[in-house]
Amino acid sequence: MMPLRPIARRVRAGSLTIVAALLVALLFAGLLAPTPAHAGAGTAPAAVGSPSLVFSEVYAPVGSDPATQWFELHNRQASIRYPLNGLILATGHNQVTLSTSQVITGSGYVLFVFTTDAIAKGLVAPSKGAQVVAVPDLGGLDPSADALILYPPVPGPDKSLIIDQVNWGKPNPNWPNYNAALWQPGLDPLVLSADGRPRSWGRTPADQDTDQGHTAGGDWTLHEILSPGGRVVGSPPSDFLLGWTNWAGGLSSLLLWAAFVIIAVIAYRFERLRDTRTYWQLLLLAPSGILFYTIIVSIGFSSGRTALNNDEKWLAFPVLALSALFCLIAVGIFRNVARSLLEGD
Amino acid sequence: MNLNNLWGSDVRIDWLPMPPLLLELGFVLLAVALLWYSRVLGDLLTILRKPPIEVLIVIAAWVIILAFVIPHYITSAVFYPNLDADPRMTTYLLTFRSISFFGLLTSAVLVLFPSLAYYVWTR
Repeated sequence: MMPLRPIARRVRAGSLTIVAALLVALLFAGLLAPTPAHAGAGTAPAAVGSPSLVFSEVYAPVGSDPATQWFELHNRQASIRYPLNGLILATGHNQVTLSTSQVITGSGYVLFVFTTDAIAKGLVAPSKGAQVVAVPDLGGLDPSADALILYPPVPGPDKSLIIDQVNWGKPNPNWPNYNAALWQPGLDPLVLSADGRPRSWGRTPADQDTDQGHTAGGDWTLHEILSPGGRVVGSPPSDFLLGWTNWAGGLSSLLLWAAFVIIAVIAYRFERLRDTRTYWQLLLLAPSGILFYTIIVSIGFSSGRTALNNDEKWLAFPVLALSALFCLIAVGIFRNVARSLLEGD
Repeated sequence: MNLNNLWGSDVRIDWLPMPPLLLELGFVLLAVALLWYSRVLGDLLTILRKPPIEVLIVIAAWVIILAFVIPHYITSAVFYPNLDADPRMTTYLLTFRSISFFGLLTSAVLVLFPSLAYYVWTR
């Protein structure tokens, strides 16, 4: 028999326990750490956001006139449709009660323009299929400092009920629609990009609402690509990036599961050969979470999506993490048993 | 966090994306498990006087870290939160997603091959 390589004794069951404890601690650190929505609480007061309708994009660059300005409302609820009729839209100076039969669909967007012919004249280019509502009575936006405020049909005493609002520049207490909850100061006045391209203020992601502006963990960022009345859409993916990658995603985790099963078989044969327990049963069961993850991924991708939804992620990812921890422990046990015996030889 | 002028736009970063962080942590653990397994297999192959193909498993573990965990983290922390802001993010996301899954497929094959070879050699 050839001499075995020197086998270090430094890793034994004790160190395995320490590694496992460290990893569990890391896991909980990730779970308990503040989410980005709360991480910025030190810089601005966090408040409860709108449960439904929010302003999602505003275009009123410095130097613009009302004919080219626009803004967008987004419905954060995927399964609820809201009629727009009766809602009150306001700027710092003006307000208008919507009188329309239009309904904002679940997760939908509505584009508001300030002149009735803004689309026809090509001054505003709405996204494909966008719902458009003209609100000429609102007058337009002041690019240097203004606000957009959405009230319910009955805004309460002193207009204290606000669905959502966004403001830029320094709010003026003399505005008829001024309220103390406006940001002081608001977003920076919108300017063109360095190379002269138009850009907008947009909510990122469109469904996030922490009532914070352009702060760390806030809701608003500069959008380099305008998407009036719709969400930002990338170019359609190729077959390789979608179909083939989906197959690779499902197949790879399935093969990885199979690899761990073979490790369990090797451990089983080692146990029979050496008549020493290797706990191969744990090695056989531990990777089951990988198989579960494979099933969820396959179901998720079979519909042609490029990512799992949040429910699927919360179902599959923690199970896989736990399974991986058991795999690590099981392989560690097998390693210690095997090396003790081989070292003895 | 907002990073201005990173590749020319206003980019938001979610440093602790949950639950994707759990997936990444899980694959780090699997990579460590594979590294440990490669040591055992190496000893067993030495006894059989077979070539040290356990090195393929070491490579597989590093491929998991470099080609799956890191791209998946970047996707979750950077590209995914900004999909509503910049259409380029969709392209980046899909590209990194392909790198992740094909990297994982490669590493799975790299683990399977030496394990199956040992299995066959010891039948």
